[in-house]
Amino acid sequence: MEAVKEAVRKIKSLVIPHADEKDNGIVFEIKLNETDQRVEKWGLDPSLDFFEVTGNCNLGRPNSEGSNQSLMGSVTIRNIFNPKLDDLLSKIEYVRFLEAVKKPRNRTFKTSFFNSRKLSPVFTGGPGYEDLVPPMFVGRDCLKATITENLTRQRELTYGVMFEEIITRDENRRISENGLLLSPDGGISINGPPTTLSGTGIDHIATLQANITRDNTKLVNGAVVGEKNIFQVDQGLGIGNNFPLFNRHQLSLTSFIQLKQVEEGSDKPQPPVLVLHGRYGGCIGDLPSYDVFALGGPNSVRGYSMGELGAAKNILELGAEIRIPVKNTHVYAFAEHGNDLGSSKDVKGNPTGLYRKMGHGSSYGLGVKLGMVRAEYTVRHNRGTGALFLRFGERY
Amino acid sequence: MAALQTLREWIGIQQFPPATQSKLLEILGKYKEEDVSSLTVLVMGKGGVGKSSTVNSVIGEKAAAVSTFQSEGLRPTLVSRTRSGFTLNIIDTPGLIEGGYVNDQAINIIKRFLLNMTIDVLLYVDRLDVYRVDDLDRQVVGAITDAFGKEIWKKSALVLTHAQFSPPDGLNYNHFVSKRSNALLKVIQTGAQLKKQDLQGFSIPVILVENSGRCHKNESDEKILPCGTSWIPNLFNKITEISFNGNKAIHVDKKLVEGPNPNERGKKLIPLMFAFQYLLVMKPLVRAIKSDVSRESKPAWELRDSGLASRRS
Repeated sequence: MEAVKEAVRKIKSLVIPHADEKDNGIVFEIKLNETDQRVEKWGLDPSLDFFEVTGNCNLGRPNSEGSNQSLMGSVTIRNIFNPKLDDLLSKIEYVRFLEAVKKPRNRTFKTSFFNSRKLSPVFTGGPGYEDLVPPMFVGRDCLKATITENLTRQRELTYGVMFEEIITRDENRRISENGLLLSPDGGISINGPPTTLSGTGIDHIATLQANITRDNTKLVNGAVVGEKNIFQVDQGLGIGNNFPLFNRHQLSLTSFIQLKQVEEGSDKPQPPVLVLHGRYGGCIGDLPSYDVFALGGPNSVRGYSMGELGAAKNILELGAEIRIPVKNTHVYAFAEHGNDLGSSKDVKGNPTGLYRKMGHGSSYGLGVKLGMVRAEYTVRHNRGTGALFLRFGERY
Repeated sequence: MAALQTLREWIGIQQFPPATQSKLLEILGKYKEEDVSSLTVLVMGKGGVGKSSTVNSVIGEKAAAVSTFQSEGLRPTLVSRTRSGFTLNIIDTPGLIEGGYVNDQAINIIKRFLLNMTIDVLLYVDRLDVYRVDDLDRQVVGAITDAFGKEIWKKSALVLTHAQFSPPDGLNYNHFVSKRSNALLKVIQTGAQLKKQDLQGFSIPVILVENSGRCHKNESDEKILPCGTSWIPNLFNKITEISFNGNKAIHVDKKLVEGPNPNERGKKLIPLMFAFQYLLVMKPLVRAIKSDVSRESKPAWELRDSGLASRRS
């Protein structure tokens, strides 16, 4: 008890809200800082839809004894009232800062082991079929080793290797080999699209990864202006079940165009900004269902849930947003479109066609930014209906 | 699969009037001349258009179950009959439409049933007495094309049942048949996405059929159409023409049953793609970042701060 009281006295607390896209809930992460440089984080996630409360605990010791090394551990229990081993999500991360005399780039070596459990956006029903298709969960155990070169503060090159074990489970936590097959006559069978490459529900995959970010954005009186490009490659190495060989790549281009010259300085008004965004994703080779590109979602086409428009091997997303400053914040109008470029049928079992998704869709709407929160009214072209959303963070 | 089946003598041919029998035997003689010992005919179409009735009429016996109101099962049926060393195989299939959708399950069952068979002729069956075509017809044709490839339509005929139907008032019978046929042939062309060079002057023949017991007969007791044609020999003649039309028969192998594997497409290009990404995307981006860094302009507040610092010192 004395130790607990001693610890409480040393604690400063900070409440940070996050958007939880997985559950459409809100996570309030409580960050606790101890004075002896250890870091602890407690978080509570009241996801009322799932009637679960998630708790997580992070322990870390950065810059351990001044040797440029860092070790972090994190354990999350999805339901603290009914804990199950399947629901334990953990992460162990070892970070070391490499010092090179000849090329003094800020280079970091990072090894991490982590697992995750996410709802698959592929095995969800299209309009009118939401309740017919039961949820499918994708569990991953990952061992990852990467090197990060910070070319500047916001320009980063990352490359590394990742080994993964992926298990797909149905809502009863049983290993699931196939999704549902919906017959036109109303029949349902379990011979639908395969969930894994091997067809057994368990996959092992080795991947080379590379990610480069070119960020030329700057702040003009608080408004982001400039250009940002991200390129990412996942190269399958042909190691694992069925020797998966693939090349999965994404290119994202975003321009923040200042529409009016303003005088720079504190207390000066923000300029109006036009944001143009394009994103292309493509894949050649063996592509399992859990790695296909999902169309629809807060970071894809707004207004739709994740994967509501389809799952495809090639996707193209286009977005435009115009931001008008108002007092200390801005209001904005946006339009977004996502398209599968006809590649939905190339996903094994064609889950997009099977679950009656369109394969493409658009949305537009209005919003206002309030601190870290965005309030948006979004109209979905495919449905013709609108809804109000609260989002956290930035879309672009 | 046909080899495993015990060959049954084509007894039903004796049910036909002598005039029809002699014409059929003449046609069978053609196959003997060409040294062809078997013919496989696949009968497909929407449900309720008369596919099984046509099979029964052609064989001359009740080989396939027919009910006016009962929905078909999902199993295809192979009817095999032998005469004078020649074997005729006719494959009756379930309807491809169920509840307003193309029944993909039925198509997959048909394909698996046909594994290792060769299709010489496809009979696409529809009714003469239906006036309109709609998107569902196009989808059925599209599904058949997806299953067997565009080449199947070069070995196909359009069969119109209920040919004894009286056209609406004021319409000439031949004129109506022509309009109905052209509408369906256009559906086949658009549904299968056939272009002019795909067909190369080939046109899909149209065969009129009347399976009802009330079919009119001529003086030789043969079943005739309103235009006077004896339709069973005509059907066999058209099938024979298609069989010998020079286009290749469709062999249903494992690859065709399983369909093309999109994961295999372009797989050999992966090393090239990886090299392209490394040399032409990643490296230029790194170089662009370095030039951005060296060229980066400092924001105004930073300049002001440095000015203030120098002034203070």
